[in-house]
Amino acid sequence: MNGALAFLVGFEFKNIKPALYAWFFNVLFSIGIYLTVYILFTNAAGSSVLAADASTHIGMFTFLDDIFSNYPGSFPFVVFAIVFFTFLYFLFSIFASGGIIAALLENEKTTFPTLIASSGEHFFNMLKVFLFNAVILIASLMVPFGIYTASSVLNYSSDGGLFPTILFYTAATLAALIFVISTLIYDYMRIFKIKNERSLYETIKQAFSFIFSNKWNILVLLVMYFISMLILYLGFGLIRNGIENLLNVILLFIIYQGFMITRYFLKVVIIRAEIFLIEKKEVNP
Amino acid sequence: MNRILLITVFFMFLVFTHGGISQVAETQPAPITTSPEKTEPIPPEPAPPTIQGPVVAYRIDAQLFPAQRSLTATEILVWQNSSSQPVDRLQFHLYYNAFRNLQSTFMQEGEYHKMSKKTTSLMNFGEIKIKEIGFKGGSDLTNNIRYIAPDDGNTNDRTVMEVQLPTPVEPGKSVELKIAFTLSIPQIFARTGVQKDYFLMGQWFPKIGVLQNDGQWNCHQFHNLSEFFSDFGNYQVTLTIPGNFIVGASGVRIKMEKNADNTITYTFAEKNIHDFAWTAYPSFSIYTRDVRFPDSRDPVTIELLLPASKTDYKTEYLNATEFTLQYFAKTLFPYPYRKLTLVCPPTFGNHSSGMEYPTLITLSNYGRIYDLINFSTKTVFHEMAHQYWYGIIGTDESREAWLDEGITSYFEMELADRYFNDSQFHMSGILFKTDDWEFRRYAYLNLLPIDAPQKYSWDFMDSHQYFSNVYSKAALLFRSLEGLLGESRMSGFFKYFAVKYKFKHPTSDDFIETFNAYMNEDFSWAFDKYIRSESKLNHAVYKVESIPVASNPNRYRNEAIFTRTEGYFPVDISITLENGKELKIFWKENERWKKYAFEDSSPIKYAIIDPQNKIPLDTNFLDNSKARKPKTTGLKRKALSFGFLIQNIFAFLGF
Repeated sequence: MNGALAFLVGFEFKNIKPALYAWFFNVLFSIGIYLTVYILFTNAAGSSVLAADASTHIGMFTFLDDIFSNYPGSFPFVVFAIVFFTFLYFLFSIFASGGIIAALLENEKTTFPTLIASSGEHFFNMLKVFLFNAVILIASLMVPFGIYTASSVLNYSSDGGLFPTILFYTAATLAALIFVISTLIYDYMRIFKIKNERSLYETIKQAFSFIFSNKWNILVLLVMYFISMLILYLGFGLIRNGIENLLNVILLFIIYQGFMITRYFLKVVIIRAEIFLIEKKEVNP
Repeated sequence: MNRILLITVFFMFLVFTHGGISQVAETQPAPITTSPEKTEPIPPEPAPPTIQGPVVAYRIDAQLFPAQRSLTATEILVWQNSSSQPVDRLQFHLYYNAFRNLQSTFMQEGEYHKMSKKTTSLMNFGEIKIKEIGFKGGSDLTNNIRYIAPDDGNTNDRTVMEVQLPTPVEPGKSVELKIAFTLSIPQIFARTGVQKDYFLMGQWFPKIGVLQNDGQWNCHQFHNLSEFFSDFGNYQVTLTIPGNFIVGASGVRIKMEKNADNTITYTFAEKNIHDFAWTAYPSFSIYTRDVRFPDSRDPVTIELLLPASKTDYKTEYLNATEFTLQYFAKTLFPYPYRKLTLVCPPTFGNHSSGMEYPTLITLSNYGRIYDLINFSTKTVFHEMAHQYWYGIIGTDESREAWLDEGITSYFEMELADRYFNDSQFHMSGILFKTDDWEFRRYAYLNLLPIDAPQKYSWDFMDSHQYFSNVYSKAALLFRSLEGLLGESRMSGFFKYFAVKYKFKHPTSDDFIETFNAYMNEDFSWAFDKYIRSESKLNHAVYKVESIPVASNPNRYRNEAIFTRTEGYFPVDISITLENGKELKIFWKENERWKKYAFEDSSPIKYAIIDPQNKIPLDTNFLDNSKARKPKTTGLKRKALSFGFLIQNIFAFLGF
């Protein structure tokens, strides 16, 4: 019950600003990649009728194949741009998260300057939490990876069979569980780090303890988050094919960003919900 | 006086006509006589031999010993000299000796010898040993054996055996040989061998080479990149195998006998084939289907052998095979054999996958992720197309691989286009729809222009060059010719060629000559450029321009320039004006560039070369059009779509 309530509590108008703040960094660095790709496309085919047609005689596979085959260096250039902007996005995402979580902890209406200042204040703590969690995540994933490798080897050498299939699904389930728990731990570590400002070790203990002592509420919360994301993606998927070739490019861009802002809003909602559960626990231990 | 004159004239008439007849008689070709200087009669030009029956007839009795990974066999071979020359030595393929050690030509070319010592120490090699060879009921020729390496002189390679005969075999005459041999069966390095208890036996018996009409042997070593070529003939093969194995083979099973030692003896036979392969594995499941044809001729029985990991594919495999048989029955000719065996290797036997033998094909068992591009089904199409071009028309896969693989790949694309209603590789909203020809073109775009498709298989720089030239470039040439000539004419030609050269081993020259004759036009340039040389093709729109005429601003001097920076192919051109008028031109001349200049009341909107993309040999579609005032809406959409994908990935990974 608390999980469902927590999720609904997050749907407040004042939480739109943190969502916009998170979305801003996403669109900023995506534009970097978009412009790289656009420049490449126009250099290769800018004066052709392909440039004008919404749907062309050749598919995307052949279109990209012709660009990368006929313009040497274009593929490494695109890859470099993607890697570069992704790295920048990661850094700024960590930066932004501090300000957003601090604002959600305060649970007051916030401003962009406050968000930025708060992000700066908490950046190194957030970076430490991120790096710590990244290492733990990679180490944890070695277990399902090992099981998957074993299932592949067994599957190859025994031509299928029940045991390799069981191993494969075990690895997949374990990997999914590790991702979910790791994300939860990451969220709660960030919250507790900003809230209580303790050491990394104390913070992770706190996060683990809270998650496992409130597992059912958190589970309900996760299910509701997953369902809302599913509705968002499916709903958008239904209209996307219909709008892509019809709408003006700017309008299309606006619709895409509307989708992304909604997505980030749902993320802000779930973090606010996680904080709500902490507050509820503090009031009723 | 008149009476005398008349008699005189009559008499003279008799003299002259009688003499004329004599004269005529005397000018008939005289029997050949020797000139005074010669003492021997000049022999007449030898007539080509009349072949009675098949060139070869094999009868093989073999027993498999799975635990020892060995096989013993006796082969009776009847071989006819179908050339115009007497021959005093016979050459045989001993393909299994390619896997004898790391020094064979096959292993050296495949760079197996460069692998780590640990890897090579774990390899299970094999070989074929000739115990004895001789005339059946006659002299022993075992001591007349020597191993030759006609291609590279590698004395460590024993894949070609030459046997010196005591007396030459005259044209049209036959010999009957008995060959006792044993196999030590290797792991499956390529196509044939054993993995665990799965046996796929291809190229497993001493196979006589092909004697050309000039008396020279076409009997090459087993190279890493080459496939196979042999004469049509009749085969009867008896296999004795432990009873727990499921067996599939070329031909029809005519007998099956259980033995007291728990082995089973199977006898398979087929006529008019040029090879024989078989498989044995205890864990196959067998599925059969009779394919019936609209004209009520005898059905073709498909026998499908599947391992446990692929039993859920049975319907797809049977459907795809039936589809192919029906398609070829209509477009070429009905499949001439009664039974067709499909073998899907178990996962650990996948090195034997994707191969063709007469009346038997091996399917693929790669990971299921490959079926995002329908790889399993396309393997059926490819190997089934080989059944006709390799199996029945019988081109030389080692010297002229393009003629087999190129045509086969072309028909694979045709089958894929018809079988899959929507394009393959479709994951809506995320990745791309892609057709089979686009994958082929990807390989072609990435090949270096340093090898021509028509060369001996082992003469290509590397395997990438081989596959991209012989499969993809050749197939795209046919597709481009189809774009130029129309599907109906191409289809008509292939039917004509296939029917004409059934069981006849046509060469590249035969193919090109027949193509030109059928089309009633000389298309040698197409094969000279794209099969016999390394050329690629690129045509483009170089420039479009519209300038108002000084004396009349309501009229424009329009100009469009088209170029061919590489290669030549006649191609459609379209110039569209702003008022919607379209000029269609066919650029046939072999020129490097062409300018079209004309006046009109409307300026040019855009010009396109090959507007329907019918010529996939073109290496760059992006320069095939030019707009006078380009709009980039389409590109913006593409870039936006790509950017949106990246945004979603960021959102998943970050915050």
